[in-house]
Amino acid sequence: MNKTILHSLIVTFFAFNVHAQDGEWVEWIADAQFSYNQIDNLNLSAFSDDQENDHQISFTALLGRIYQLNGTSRFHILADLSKANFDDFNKMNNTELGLNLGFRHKFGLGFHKPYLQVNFGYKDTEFSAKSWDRNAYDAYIELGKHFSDKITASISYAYTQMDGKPWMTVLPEISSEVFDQNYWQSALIVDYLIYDDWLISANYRYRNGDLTSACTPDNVVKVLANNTVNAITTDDIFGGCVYQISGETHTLSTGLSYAISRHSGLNFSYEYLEGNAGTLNYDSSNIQLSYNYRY
Amino acid sequence: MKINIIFYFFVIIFSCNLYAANLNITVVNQKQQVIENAVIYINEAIPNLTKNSVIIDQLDKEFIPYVTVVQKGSSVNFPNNDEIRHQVYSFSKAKQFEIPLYNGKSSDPIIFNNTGSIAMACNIHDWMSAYIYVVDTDKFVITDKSGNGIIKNIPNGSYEILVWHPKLKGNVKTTAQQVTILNKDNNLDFQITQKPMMKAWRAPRSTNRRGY
Repeated sequence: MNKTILHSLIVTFFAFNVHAQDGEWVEWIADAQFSYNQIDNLNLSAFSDDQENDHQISFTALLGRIYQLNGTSRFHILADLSKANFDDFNKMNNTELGLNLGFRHKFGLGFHKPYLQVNFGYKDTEFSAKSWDRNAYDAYIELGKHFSDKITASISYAYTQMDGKPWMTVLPEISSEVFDQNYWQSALIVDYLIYDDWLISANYRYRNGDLTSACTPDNVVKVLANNTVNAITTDDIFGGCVYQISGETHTLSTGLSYAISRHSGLNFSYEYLEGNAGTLNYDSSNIQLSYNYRY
Repeated sequence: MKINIIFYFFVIIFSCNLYAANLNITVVNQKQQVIENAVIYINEAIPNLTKNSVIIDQLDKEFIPYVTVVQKGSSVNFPNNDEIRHQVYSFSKAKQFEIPLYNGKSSDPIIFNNTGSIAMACNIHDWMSAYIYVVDTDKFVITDKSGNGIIKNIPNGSYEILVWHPKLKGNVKTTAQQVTILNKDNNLDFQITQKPMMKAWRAPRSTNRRGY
């Protein structure tokens, strides 16, 4: 059903494009990001005795093009390639290949007019530990507005459907397809310009649906004793089991950006996640420093 | 011989403009920081000003220059030297206009018949902004990166000098200074109060934010 909705949205997206008159391919999208991440509780374990931390270095490159329909509407299509390497947990190293289609509409003429952004994405992610491989479809909608020359805010909703692969069966009555997941998330983002070249941002995100957690065999027993897990399999990365459970998370993040030039910037962010599923409580954090370039 | 001396005397006298001088101006803000792109001009209404044709370019998704001064009645062309399309508009009281989405040369120049400031922007690229300031005089200058500007060849007399800047807080009249020009160059320092206005953000951020 969800897949049908996604496909219908994509068909609508292209049908709209067909009616475009005086449209023209305009800007190229060529973005790159080099980032360093320090992740606490990388395995999102609910138990403090087996939470793992690690450092990650990643590189992302995006290449695409924008099709300008008129003065207020445009489409984009882009492909992205991302490579992430972990310091300790090498089997988490992954390569991601994605395709993203988007439509942006501004409701009129002027800096303060609100905009609507709709994106559809596909991502194929391959890990060193093959059991974690997955592909994902997502639909994203964002409504935003410049409230003043300093403040911009947006709200967004995203629905993601992930397909993994079956792996080693741990319990016959429970699926081993841990990465077959569905979830949605909604976010509120506020950007505030401190100076012309310094910007801070705050972001709250609520996520509801399936989530992934990995822990040692001893703790898996505790999870299974009191909770209903949707899927479980053995895990090469963290040495125990990885399971899927339905729950919700709240994420707060704050960022500081510095404009090096018109085309490049340094971005720092801190993110804290707290969530629960059944009787389990989760928390994790991520500090990211990135250099971004836009053609 | 005497005729020659008298002749050369008059040549020297008239080759030097004894009735004009320059005004050297520096503009700083309330924090004593020098202000670039401040428009300094003599507050006078000269009838039948020359109507110039001025160009404001669009390159690398920016208006160039950021601040332009034009004499009342002048026209401005907005050639688009990017290989993409722009849509230029202004809602300012002194001039409202819109140039629909275009690339290459814009169709017709825009004529500015009213004095005052005009803020303009591109509807496609929100960070693109620039200003036109329309004056009633041919005696004006825009300050450089050091906050300096020179208004040249001002005839002897008393004048009111005004300063305008996109971030100027309050009315331009509050900046007024009187100056008397009498055969020699003068220096004039302005301190203006700026409001905390920002130019929209352009630099890239996380690749997860895909708002193209």
